[in-house]
Amino acid sequence: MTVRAEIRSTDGLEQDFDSIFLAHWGEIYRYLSRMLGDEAEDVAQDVFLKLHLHPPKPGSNYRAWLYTVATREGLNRLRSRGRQRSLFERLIGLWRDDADSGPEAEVESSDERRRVRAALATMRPLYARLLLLRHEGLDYGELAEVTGTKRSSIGTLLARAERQFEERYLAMGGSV
Amino acid sequence: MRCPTDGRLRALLDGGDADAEAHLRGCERCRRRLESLRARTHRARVALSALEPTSTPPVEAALEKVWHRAERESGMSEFGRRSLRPYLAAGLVVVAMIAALAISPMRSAAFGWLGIIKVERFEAITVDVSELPFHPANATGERALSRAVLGELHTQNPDSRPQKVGSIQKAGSVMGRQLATAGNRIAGEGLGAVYVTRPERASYTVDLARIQSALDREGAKGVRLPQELDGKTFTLNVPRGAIAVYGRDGQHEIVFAQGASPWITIPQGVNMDYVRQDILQIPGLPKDLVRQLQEVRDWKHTLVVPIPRGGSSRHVSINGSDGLLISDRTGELNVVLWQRDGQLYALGGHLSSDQALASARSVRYP
Repeated sequence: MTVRAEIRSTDGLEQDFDSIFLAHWGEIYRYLSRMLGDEAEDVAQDVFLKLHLHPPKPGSNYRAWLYTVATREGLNRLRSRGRQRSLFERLIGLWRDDADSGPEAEVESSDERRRVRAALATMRPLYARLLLLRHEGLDYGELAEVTGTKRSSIGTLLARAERQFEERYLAMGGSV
Repeated sequence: MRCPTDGRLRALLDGGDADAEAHLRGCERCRRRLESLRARTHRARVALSALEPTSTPPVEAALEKVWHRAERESGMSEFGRRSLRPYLAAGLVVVAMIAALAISPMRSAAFGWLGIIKVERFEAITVDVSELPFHPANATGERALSRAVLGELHTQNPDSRPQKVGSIQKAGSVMGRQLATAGNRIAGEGLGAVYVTRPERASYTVDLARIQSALDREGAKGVRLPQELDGKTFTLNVPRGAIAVYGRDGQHEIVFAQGASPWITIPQGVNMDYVRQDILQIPGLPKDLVRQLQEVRDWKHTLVVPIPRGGSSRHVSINGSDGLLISDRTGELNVVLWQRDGQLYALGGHLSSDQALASARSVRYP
């Protein structure tokens, strides 16, 4: 059954969308959480909202599609962080829904997390994405689809990504 | 076969490659290269695991939120979905009580509903916002709440923006009293900015017909509010407060806020004990919410602080005064609330819970 059929079928419409959601919510949230911190839930909702409103073409690999959209939305959110909210607003955010609380990356106090995110942030973006996606368990075909690269290049790119990550991570004071 | 590239060896770690494996059997150097790559892959995985979220939002609640948004965006009735109806019937009034505590200027009205006369202690209640028919932090929800339930709220001072002042001493001058100051640990971070909030006096007159009409219109038929409230005016007074922000790098700021306790005037003829019981007995209210509110014993002197699920709180003692420590779900952002001699204090920021408590306990009072 194609994604479109699953999502758009009139029989059990909610159940079909729900089953996709239930199967992939956790991994998409975790992926975005690594990228964004506390804004992850908000962006993850955006991703599934897009799946509901604008599903991919019939026959698509919807897991890869979800990661593609999550990557795009996550990067958009990172770029829009130029106007950072004040701490005061973030404290106020404590009393709001956790989906709306301040971006975790901005309030990071964990040294290790900060080092890892800082290392990722200074890497070639493609390498950082590949590293996070592979860590999430995507296979080489899915990695190629989500990042728009050739499947046969994934091994080389991953080896370079891991080497670059280690260099940047050590430069940030990390230890291996 | 020639020695495989690093890329091919790296791919071998993730799956079979018969040719490469055959080569490795006869090539010691490539076996060492493979082990080196394997070790690096492992180190990267370990490092990345530091970014593992401490928890994942409950999937059912997340699904409900997405459906809620999808229905809104696709033009369906916001209240048309099966699972929201009971919560809508749950009574917008109590939702307003919770949301309003968090959202200015509506918190004024919420104090009225809760009947707080003077804050002497704190209680936290856990709120699952997915159970609420309105998203409390959502501007649309706020407007809807305001329109549907609260009606017109008359504030004496519509400009509620805080006033920036040059120092804590100047803030004290504006407020007409000497202020408490942060201890050395916080003060050592450097004072970034000081603000004084404007006094607020808000009155709210209950118009039962309007509220009932709004409830009926939104599908909450059957919800009836206490008649004795009709036409009664509640007045809330929030004195000036001072907010000092320490730290200069924008990433490690610590906020220390203080102000006198707000108080409300409850109109004659209104027994807030009865009103509260009536409101809490509205059919369909989330049971867990009602239970938590009912467990607040000295509710007239208790500030109920709603925190989202995932956050945590515990009672603490700050130099002999009752206080509340609130942590976000990462545990990296902590805030302490406490009161002393009729003044309320809040201190928080990117501190561990121990640091936040130590900082609160080191505050110097005039």
